[in-house]
Amino acid sequence: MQEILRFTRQTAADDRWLPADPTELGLLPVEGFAQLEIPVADFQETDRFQIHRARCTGTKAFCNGGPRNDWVWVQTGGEAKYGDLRGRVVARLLALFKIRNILSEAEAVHRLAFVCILNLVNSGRLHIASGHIPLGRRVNRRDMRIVSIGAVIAQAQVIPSGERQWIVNHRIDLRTFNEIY
Amino acid sequence: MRYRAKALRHELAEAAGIAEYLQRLGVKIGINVFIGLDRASPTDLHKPDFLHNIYLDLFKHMIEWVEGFLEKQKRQQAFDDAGKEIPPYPGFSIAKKAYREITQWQGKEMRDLGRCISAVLVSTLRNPHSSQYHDFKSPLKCISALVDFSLMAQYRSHTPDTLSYMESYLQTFHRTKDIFLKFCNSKATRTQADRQDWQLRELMANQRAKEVHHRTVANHRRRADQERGKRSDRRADLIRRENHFNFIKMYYLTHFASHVRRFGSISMYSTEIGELAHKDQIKDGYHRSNKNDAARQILSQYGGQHALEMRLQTIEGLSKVKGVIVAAESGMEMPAV
Repeated sequence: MQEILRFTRQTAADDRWLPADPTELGLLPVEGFAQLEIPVADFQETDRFQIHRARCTGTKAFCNGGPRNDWVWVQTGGEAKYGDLRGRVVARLLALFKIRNILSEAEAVHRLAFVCILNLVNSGRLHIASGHIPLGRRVNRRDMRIVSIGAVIAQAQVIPSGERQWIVNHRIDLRTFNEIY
Repeated sequence: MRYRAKALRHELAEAAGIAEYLQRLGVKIGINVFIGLDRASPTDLHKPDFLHNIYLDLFKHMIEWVEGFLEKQKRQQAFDDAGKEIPPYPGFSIAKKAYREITQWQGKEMRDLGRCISAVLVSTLRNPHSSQYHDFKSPLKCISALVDFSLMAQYRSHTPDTLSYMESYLQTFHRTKDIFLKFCNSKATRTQADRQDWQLRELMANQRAKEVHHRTVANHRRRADQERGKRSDRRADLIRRENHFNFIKMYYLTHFASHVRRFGSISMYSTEIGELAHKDQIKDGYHRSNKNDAARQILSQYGGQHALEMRLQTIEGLSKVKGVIVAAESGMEMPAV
């Protein structure tokens, strides 16, 4: 709830889609989802798209295994931000949901994602020795955010590297390799 | 270089002619199918190939070097553990086994390995001791450079910048690859080392048999340790002397950039597409046949399937044209009334 309120406050006054009052917000119907289909343009092909199916089962099991909450790229700023990551951050999907604002006249539907954003270790710059971007996780819960699903631009691959540390695998496909260097 | 040219001239002079000289080197001279073709240069016919040149050859060598290096650094288990923690990604298949347990690699598995190995290796070699820091830096650079080169070579269109990046990655790879030299054992070198080891063992056993005086158990053990150490040193010397990176596919990487400049993107010539088509064109047909005179049935099955696909595409194309109505059941087109 706090995250939704923060999300509402962060949006500009004109674009405020959701009520700022927590009691009003609590009345709105919410529907959860387990998959987000993200169209990603093929590298050096403008008219072809790949569909990245990012799964987010929360605490539920996926295909008789453990829960699956995929890593995604979230565009949070301009290209000048976050060093070599160019305005993007890596986040883990925690929940995907749709919220309908029945209190407004238009009854607008908002599709949102609850994500846990990884912290930049070296201001998002490539580590010279390893040639990879290291990421970490904050101890406090300020890394949890709600973003619009439009900000989720692609699936990401990060590899665990010790306690609360990850490495961005930017060689996973040609597009990511071309964008991060 | 001058010495080599002089030696070559000398060898040529000794031989009756260039033909004999080449024959002595093992080059077969004969008339082949390309001789009579106008504007066909046999030297240009061989194209760089990702599947056989990079995935199934260089990456295979690379994983052997990495395994040898990790074994020396005692980090094999960490590598396997890091490999198991790779999260899913579209178009990327995760290996179900640990890397050491995989005995046979397919092209697709090698391609996927190339896409994740540098990150997995960084994760494996984390937290080095101060003495290990320099030892860990070179392999990471070398592997990353090779992977970067292979990725850059897959671009469908290039600019002078991308080509210069490709060349610089290749240079970095060649500059840093020496760290893996001791793990770059060819089959012949391994056989030679085993033979030398066996001969040494025989020699030492003979010497021991000639000595008549009795030894204590402790002396016997000490001597066995010394002999083992000596054998191991000799083996390491031989491997250091014989190991090299001079194989054809390693050399061929130097032609990738020039190939792009002359003929365009390398992806166009990759045999990966042809091999992938075997499934539709041959394997599916074989499975559907009764395995008796299968070739005829394969051809007929694929011909029929191909004709049907063409037909469907024609119908789809016609349905987009204004003024043509496609009859739903027959697939026949008729002008709109």
